[in-house]
Amino acid sequence: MNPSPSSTPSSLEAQRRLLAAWLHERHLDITLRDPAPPIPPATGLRYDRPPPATWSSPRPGSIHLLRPTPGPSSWGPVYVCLLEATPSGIRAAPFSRYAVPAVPGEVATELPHAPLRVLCLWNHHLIPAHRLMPQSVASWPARAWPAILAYHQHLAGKSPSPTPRKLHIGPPLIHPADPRHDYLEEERQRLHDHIHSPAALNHESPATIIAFDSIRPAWRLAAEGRPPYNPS
Amino acid sequence: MSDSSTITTETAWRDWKKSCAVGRCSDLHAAQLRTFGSYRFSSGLRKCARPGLSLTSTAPANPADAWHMLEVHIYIGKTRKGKQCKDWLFERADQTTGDWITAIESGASLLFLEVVRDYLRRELPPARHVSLHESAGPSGDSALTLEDLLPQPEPPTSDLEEREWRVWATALALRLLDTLDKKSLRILYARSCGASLNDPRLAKALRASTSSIYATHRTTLDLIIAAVRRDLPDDPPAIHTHATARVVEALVEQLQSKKVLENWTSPCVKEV
Repeated sequence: MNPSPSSTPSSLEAQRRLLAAWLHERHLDITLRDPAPPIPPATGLRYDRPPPATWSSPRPGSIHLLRPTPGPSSWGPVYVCLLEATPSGIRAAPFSRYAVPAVPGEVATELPHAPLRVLCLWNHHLIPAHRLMPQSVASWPARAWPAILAYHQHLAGKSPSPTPRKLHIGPPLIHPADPRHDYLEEERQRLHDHIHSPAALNHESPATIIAFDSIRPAWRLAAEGRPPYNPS
Repeated sequence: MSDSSTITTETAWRDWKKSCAVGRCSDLHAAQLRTFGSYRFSSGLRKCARPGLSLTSTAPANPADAWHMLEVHIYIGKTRKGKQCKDWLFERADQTTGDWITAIESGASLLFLEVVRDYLRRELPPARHVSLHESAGPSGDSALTLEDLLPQPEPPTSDLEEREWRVWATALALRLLDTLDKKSLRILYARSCGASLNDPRLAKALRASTSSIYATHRTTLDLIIAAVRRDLPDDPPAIHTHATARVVEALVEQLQSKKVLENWTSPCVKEV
């Protein structure tokens, strides 16, 4: 489950630079936040619409924007990359708000658009089709997609082989007091709010209960990269 | 929001949505949106200003530039489907039962936060060569350094060493259990289970504000780090990091096995 040596930031200096850059952006993010932007409550009625046409044939690698979160939320737009279609829905991973990957479960995409710079594979989730905006905004370049998919499968434990192409991933997360823990929590919450808010569910389901068992694997993925201190 | 909400009108926003870019809007509407954008951009810069660093001097001189940066930031390519962020903004505003202008300006403000953050990230990057002893805190006030947060090239411990680590960590965890209060332990346990400290249900269960939960969690970890450093004063940061992680794990194990948290954990964790 640990990232392959070929995809780990190669040196301590590289990890240090990545982490410093990430901490810098994180500090800017926290400084810029408004205490509580005044947003009127949402009706949620506009969520009662049919799934987009893409639902019937989701294409792995296509990138979608999630519909806005109703309610008093301060989340900006969330872009997701469709990973696979499963019997229970579309599995997708969100893109990070930041420009630098934070943990080994995040990959720098090298896509030229600011909101699509880092893909959070650790935060993959089943997403109902009605939460997606109708059209995909972009698609992954065909030559780059297999490496991303292979790394996703590697993280999910489906593929023991190392990633075929060198990917730029985040530095390992080993310290319990690392500020990246708070970031991971926020990212998880951000996606959760977009998928599970009562209005987003068309009031068909009660307020959601987070199943810890389903969360833990994702957290383990996010926190992986600790082989020096976790001998088997 | 109140002072800027009078700057724009719904027709200006609708004009922008219909047009490809603000440059194609009528002069009146373009001026409204650019003034709003300039205000939001400058407001963000002011928040990040600090002594000795005048960020406003690096701000774009022309108010049109802020809005242009927004459009560059949110557009994914040049086609219509790459501009769905506009649809997102309008759908978000359309959902409201309150004032539409307030809602759309609120959404646009969220987008401007991203634009300003990205601008500052580029304009004020961290030093290319970063010391391992650089503080990991936002303003250099953290007890942790980058060296603490990154794995060091230490050889993995052997099985025997690992068992010794476990015994030591459990002993320290038991000592800490006597000194840490229940609220701190509950928060530590919740986080270790993957619960969000930001979750309102956790705040309700603990009868504490979210900010105090974060502060308590931080203080608890600082106490653990201090205890580790007291026990292992001559060891390098890599060992301290390893030891801290071990002690937190041992604490959580103790909380689970001894039911120190009594009947609180089970229902709370299920709920949160």
